[in-house]
Amino acid sequence: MQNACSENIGKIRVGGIKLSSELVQYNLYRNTPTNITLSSFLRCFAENRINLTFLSLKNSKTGSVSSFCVAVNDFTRVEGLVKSHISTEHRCKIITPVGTITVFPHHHSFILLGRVISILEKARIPIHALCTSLSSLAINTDYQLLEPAVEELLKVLDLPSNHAPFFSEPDLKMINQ
Amino acid sequence: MSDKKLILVVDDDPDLVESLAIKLESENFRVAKAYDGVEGMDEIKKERPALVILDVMMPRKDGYTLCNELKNSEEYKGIIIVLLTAVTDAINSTNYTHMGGKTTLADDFVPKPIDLDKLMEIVKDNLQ
Amino acid sequence: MLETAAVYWESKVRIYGFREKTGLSLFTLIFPIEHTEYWGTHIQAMAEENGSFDLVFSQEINENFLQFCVVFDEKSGSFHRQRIENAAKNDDRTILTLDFPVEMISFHGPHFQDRYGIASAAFDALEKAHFNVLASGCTGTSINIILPEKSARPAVEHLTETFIIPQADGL
Repeated sequence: MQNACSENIGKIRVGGIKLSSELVQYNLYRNTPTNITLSSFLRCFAENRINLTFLSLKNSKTGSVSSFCVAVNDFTRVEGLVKSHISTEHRCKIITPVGTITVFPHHHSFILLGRVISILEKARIPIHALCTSLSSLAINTDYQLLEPAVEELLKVLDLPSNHAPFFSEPDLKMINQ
Repeated sequence: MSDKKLILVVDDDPDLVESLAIKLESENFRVAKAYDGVEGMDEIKKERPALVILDVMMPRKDGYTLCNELKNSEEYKGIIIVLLTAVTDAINSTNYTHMGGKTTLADDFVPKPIDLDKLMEIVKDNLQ
Repeated sequence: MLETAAVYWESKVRIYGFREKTGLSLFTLIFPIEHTEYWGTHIQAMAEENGSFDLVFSQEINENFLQFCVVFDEKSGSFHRQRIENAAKNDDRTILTLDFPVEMISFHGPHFQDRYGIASAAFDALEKAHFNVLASGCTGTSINIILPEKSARPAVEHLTETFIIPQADGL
């Protein structure tokens, strides 16, 4: 195998990087043909007011793979809910603690995506899951590797000089509608 | 120098900043972006936008504080400010008192979320 | 530093609007984790050919393999198909599948990253109407759902029973 392109030395300018608090990632596998949309899981989490910070799903003719993240504080409750919902057709992998690195904006750029993936792989920082939003690239890795991962990313990404701290403590608002 | 008016979008939700930028650019505006009040102030000093779309709830410096700093400044008080308010922050006038006595001198406000076409109308009305 | 977060439930969830894209290609690559750097450089090479993506997500299939999914629009998809196919041929442990044409619905709303029940509301609405969800990626405040051809428009019609786009008038 030969790599496709040579090193490009210029850093990519981005608007920011954010790091999440501690999360638990669930990977659910089902190896039978299915159109499941995780609805029963998701309904159950909603009824229990559990937020998913990350969700990806891929269905195919041979099965499905889904990954989702919850706050580490919800782990005990989620554990019980998952156990009561999975059948023998499912396989479940739990990765804990993980954290999400959010890089924004991605501008739908393969250069940014490719460099981020390559630099993390080169540094042996695992990518447990990855997903793009309208503007951001979210990467899940081991929580204790978040800061080393940012150090690696800053070799290829350029941040504004007045950038906010990477971690933030949420100022939570409960709103009764 | 471009004739297109520059609009600064300041919000800590990068997805909203991006969707507003796409919409504004499609309406022939230039767009600058910032992700909190501190970055917003720096962009204002650097870029001198004609109008700022400014979120209220943001880390480091909130939208009320930034708005009042601008409106109390001889240099920046002419910049039009449209505040984006969250669900519970909906208000019915500008120059209002809110959030435990804080006041704002914003030119207009828009409750979040809003149809982006409607927001464009509000932006254009304020720039006329 | 404090970051604002809000937790609340709405019977009709307010959003900024729906985007529908049709004629998309969904490429799925399954490759050994140690081949990630190889695929990273091929992804960068796509940029040199002016490529851009509509959605990307990856998942661990097991301890050794990653599943990497990229959604392209029609133009980029046909442009990059040859490159991806050639790169996959050079890596005999990679499996490539292509779903074409597929459609994507995207929407986002305030504080979606902090609020429970958003994805559930979307998937419930689609399941009740028997839509076949091929893939989905939800992060930040964005929900992206990949559906088969000719599904996006009717799916949005169903989703508008759950999600609303407020207007400025009357607020």
